[in-house]
Amino acid sequence: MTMLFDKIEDARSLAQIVVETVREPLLVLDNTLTILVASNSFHKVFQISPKDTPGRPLFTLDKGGWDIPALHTLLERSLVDQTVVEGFLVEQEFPRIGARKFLLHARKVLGTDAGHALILLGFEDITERRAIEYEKELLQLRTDDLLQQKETLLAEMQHRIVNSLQIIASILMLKARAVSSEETRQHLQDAHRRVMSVAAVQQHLHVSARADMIEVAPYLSKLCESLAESMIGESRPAKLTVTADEGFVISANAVSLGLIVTELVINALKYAFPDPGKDASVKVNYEVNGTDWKLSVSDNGIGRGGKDSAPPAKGGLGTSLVKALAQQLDAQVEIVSGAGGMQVSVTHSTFVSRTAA
Amino acid sequence: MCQAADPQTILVVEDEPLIRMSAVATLQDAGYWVLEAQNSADALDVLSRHSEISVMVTDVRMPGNMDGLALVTWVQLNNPAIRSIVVSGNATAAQAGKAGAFSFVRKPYLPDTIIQAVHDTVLRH
Repeated sequence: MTMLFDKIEDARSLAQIVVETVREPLLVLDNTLTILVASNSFHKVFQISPKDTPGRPLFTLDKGGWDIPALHTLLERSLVDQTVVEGFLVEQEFPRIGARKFLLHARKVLGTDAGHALILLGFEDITERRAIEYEKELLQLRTDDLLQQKETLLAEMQHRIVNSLQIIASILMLKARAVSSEETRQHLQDAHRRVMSVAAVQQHLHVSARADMIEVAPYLSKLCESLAESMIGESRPAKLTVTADEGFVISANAVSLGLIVTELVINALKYAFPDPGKDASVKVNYEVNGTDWKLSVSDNGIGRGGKDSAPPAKGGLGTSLVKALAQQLDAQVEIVSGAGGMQVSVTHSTFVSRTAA
Repeated sequence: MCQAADPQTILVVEDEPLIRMSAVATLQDAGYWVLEAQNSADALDVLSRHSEISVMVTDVRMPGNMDGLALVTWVQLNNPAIRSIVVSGNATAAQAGKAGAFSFVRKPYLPDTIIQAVHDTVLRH
């Protein structure tokens, strides 16, 4: 008999120690909702003296400050339904600690008869977590707002760039229409084409999914479409084709590549075919080998031998531009000309063409 | 460059004077009669005085209460015989089509592009 009492006492002591040491606030209530045991963390969190809890009805704590309707609902449900209640939210102004948000977890234990039941009532303080979540939501809303502002600014910038380019193109066209010198008209029309190429480059950069990296193949194709539209026609029939390896370049390099292609294609179409024919062909080729690349523009025209149509011997504005742009790209320019036409290659580093291997 | 066989009257609506001048000159060179307006309110005034207009070429972003897309919708409702071409650097062909435009030209455009768009519109009129 003595041993049995000892075992019961041991179990109660153990239970009391467990309750007192758990980190989350915890109460053990009897079936009249009177506090049997309160954990140390309960006293600490709610700033209630350990002397004030044992034997005190829960709802009379702090002069009735704990007489919370939501708490009534939870505990009555737990007693009657014999169920576990998890995560019951209570938002309450507590007497000593102010406004707090708790998730309450209740479980009926021991006897199956409600008259002898005990209730374990745990408190999970989520006040700070909720505050952080709220802050996070506000931050997300602010971020969304800033992103929206960024999109609006980008659209506005795009509008201004396009309008400015159209204005410049319009001035050049109006001037070309007004001048009497055919040579001057040609120069103005060249300038107009260059502006339109810059516009095509800009347009492509704007619609690219990634603003910092540009996919080369569609970019060069789009650019050459624009050039063909302005330069190839009934009076100047030619075929302009683009072949490009898969790959991306940073947008600054894409602009330089685009301007090089523009100059070389304009040059080829203007000078390589003094006698327009059906077979006239200009090819733009872009090959990649690791970090190295080679851009070439070739034609099947008369090459440099045709003095009447060739560009100025010292190199015109186009040639100077290509050299400057190639230097910017850390690339070398090579020109090969013969009876079968001319090829201008811009090569970055030690690129070795697959076709040459 | 396309030449209009039977001169049609085109209204160009554009707030940027140089772009408007260039567009007007380009279409005149192509053989069209061209009227111009600097915004939607101005365009409505020109439209009320010139029933001979068959095609309207309009920019989208312009000062005033009505932008180019709203102008196209108004014309579609009140002068359905007039076909509209929208030119824009930031609006889309889908937006232009939804507003009731017959055609869309992206800015900046080449002279031949705008002439071709007007020509196609006149042909299908």
